[in-house]
Amino acid sequence: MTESTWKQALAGKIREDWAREIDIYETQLELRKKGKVEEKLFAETRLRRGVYGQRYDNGQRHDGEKSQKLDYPSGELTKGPETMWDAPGMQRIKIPMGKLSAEQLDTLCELAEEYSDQILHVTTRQDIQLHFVHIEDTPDLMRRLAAVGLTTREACGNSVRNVTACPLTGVCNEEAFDVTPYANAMMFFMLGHEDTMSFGRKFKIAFSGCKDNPCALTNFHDVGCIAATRVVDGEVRRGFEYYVGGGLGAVPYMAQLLDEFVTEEELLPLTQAVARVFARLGEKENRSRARFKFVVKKLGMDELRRVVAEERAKLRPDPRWTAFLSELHATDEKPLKPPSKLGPGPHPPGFDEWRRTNVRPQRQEGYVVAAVTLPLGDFTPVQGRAVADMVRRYTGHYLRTTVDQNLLFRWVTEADLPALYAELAAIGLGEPGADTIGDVTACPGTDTCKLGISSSRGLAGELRRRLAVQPGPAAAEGLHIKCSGCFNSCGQHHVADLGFLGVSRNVNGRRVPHFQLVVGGELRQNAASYGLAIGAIPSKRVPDAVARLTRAYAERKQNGETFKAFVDRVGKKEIKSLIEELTQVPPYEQDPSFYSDWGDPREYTIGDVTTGECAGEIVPMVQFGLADSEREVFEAQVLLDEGKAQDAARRAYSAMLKAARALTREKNQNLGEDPAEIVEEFKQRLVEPKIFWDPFMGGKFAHFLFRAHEEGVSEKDHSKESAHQLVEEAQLFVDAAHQVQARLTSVPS
Amino acid sequence: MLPKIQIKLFTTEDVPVEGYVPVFHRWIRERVLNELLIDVVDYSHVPDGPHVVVIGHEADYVLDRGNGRLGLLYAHKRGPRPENLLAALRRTLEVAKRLEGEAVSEPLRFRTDRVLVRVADRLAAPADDATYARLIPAFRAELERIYEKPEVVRVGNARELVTVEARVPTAPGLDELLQRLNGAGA
Repeated sequence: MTESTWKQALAGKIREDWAREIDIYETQLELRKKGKVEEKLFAETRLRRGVYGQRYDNGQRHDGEKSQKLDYPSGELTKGPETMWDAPGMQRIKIPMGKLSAEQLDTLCELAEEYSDQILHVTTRQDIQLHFVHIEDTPDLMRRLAAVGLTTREACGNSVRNVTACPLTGVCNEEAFDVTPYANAMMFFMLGHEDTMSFGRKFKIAFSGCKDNPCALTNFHDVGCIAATRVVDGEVRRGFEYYVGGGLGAVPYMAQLLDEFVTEEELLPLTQAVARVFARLGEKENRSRARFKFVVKKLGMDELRRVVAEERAKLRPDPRWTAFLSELHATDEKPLKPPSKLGPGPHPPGFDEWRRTNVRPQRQEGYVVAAVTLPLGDFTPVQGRAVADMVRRYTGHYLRTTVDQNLLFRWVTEADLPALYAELAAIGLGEPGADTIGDVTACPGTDTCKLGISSSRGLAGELRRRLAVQPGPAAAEGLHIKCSGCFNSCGQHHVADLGFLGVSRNVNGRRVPHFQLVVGGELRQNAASYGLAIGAIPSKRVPDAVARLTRAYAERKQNGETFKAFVDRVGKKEIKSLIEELTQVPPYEQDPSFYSDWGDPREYTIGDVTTGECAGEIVPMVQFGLADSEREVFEAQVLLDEGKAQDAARRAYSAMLKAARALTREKNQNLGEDPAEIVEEFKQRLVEPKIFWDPFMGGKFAHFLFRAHEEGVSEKDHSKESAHQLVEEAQLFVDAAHQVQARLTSVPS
Repeated sequence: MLPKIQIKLFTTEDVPVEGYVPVFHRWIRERVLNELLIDVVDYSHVPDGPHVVVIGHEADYVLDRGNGRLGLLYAHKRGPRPENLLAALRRTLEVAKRLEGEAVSEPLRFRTDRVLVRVADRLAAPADDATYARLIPAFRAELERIYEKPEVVRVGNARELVTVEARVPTAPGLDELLQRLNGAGA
């Protein structure tokens, strides 16, 4: 072993821009530890790198009797408001479209072993999460991910989150076309895009290959794109039905049609324009009204179309809008083996049942997709490496994560199914029942989430256990159960047949965990309908409620009706009456088990519920730019100390340019990166009108930038003295920029 | 000392360990270990994995079923490192002894004739021949201070963490082993 750091070990293996971003993030960590980065800014910085808080990170934990302080060694150092530095956190890793290579999976397994609790978790948005990660491990974790083409950037925070897509796209029988290249282009176009930096809240985009099936659930996304084709001048053109303004959260909104056919050329610029509208008109103060769905509601679709068109017209043309169209097939997957039929057997024990529930034919003859049922979305590194090996040997290079928190093999030959199943069974991943009632989806809930009210994972685990032992009526097999730990819907309970959201009830002076039963939801047609809560059931009685409701459905359904149709027909009053007696809580003395939650023996409390980080921190784009410039000045000083006068001078000039651009961009959103353009715009918009102006020094600080630019700092030779002077001037310039920003936002001095 | 050293002591029998979830919650409440413990996680739904985990700041303590073998896994993460392998083993034995003393319906009992040692740091200890050539004799030399003729064998493959297993034909009980560690100054 010759390298002493992962940065050294991975030198040259990470794309340069990603490597630089991670270095910048690492510098921000160091600056935060020195108290040189403000708490909220740092919180949003790390959230935008997927570094999330977890329960108890405020340094308090209820032990079942009282709230106890957790004495972290870092003392009062924080990584955000009320978030202790040493408190373990969650690292979210973006898996765009859920598409994961064998190599990427291997790396994820290594990271789970070295930095977390040895478990990898698939989320309801196709991401991977690792829990109990220390923030100081995150830069190296990010480098190792970047070396295999994965990023954590904007996995959390007020940003464009993971772009999800139907896991069957490319092999689906019903899709219009493979949406993978479009989702991929969207992901990389929007990643770090300046027009997404001033959002007041998260922004979620999903792609579906077809309208009818639930795979991508576009109806509850901020932007949902459904593949469509149209004949134009005798030629089949690809495009998308473009929906906006969907979202779950406490009160779900259905997305509405913005445009019935957006061409593939217009997909990215239209989304950029939508992003600008959100950045400009989205609520920033009231976080609970800050999602894009509220903008859509407030404006109405006609006005929304108008403002989007207005923004679209102002956009500076970007070659990235269409560059990907010449490489649409770059993301195609090819099968590893020729198609072949399933042999006559005998097959391994359990194979037939597994095949019945977990295997579907692909569009391509002789191939099937095979789901790996993950218990609560969790798997170990040992299992993950074995699955990676199976991908290499059976199907090629990729598998997909799904919103049902499972994994999906594609391009499996039928002949290979028994062997694949046997290998999965040998590592404990051969459970049947994917996408059936026993395949319960849950958000992390009170296990790790600061907002969790009741244990969604505990409930989901209990339901899985019971349904495995007593599957219930066959007619109910296709129902979907989804559990959220609170009203924020991360478990997507609104679109389940039986949805549960965590609530708390006061019973005779004691808190008791409950779940609201939500019925009337529908997954089909990309999540066509949202359910409504009809009553709270004590957590410990929910499995009994599920048994009653599924039995009632099986006995009384008519003409093959769906569960939603059944609920609509019999009425919610009747449904409620079926579970009424289950809503009672026995006295504590009679059965104290009701007073603790599934999987947690502590007496139940909501004392550990704190402020979540999903809403991130509102940090205006200009502040990020000024923080960047501050960091560059610091780096210039470090370079100077290292005797690198030339580099120090260039970095000092770059710091001034960054600060100037950050301020000027508030006046001209289309401002590019060209130094000449920046300096000219800065001069015209801020210096000449005496906005960038010091009451005592006048325009002196601005002239530091002008002189550096005119003298061609980047090309000129610099002595230690001249570099030192430039670094000093850069610091003064950046300080002046901060003063200007404070003045413009009326921050008291 | 190596960073992120992990020690696993195996149980004499495979028993249900759900009963230890409330035990670990009590350990946190009563601060029974002289280190910061943060939370308890139940992963009993994951086959052959970390079944019940006590998350700590410096170390996690896991009732672990990796490779189908139940045991107590001590996993050092950060902060002051155990001075040497024996110090890490001592920590594990002390916790194992405490676990054996807990009143649960099917108590754990630990064997001491097999000890698994891992290093969860692929940079400091890549799983290659050179690392094993360096570590195996070093570990053997340390273990010889408390065991008679321990055999230390490589059990991990190149993709896993560096993993060795120490084996002895007979081994003392927990208490005697802890006394031997005292005698060895660990």
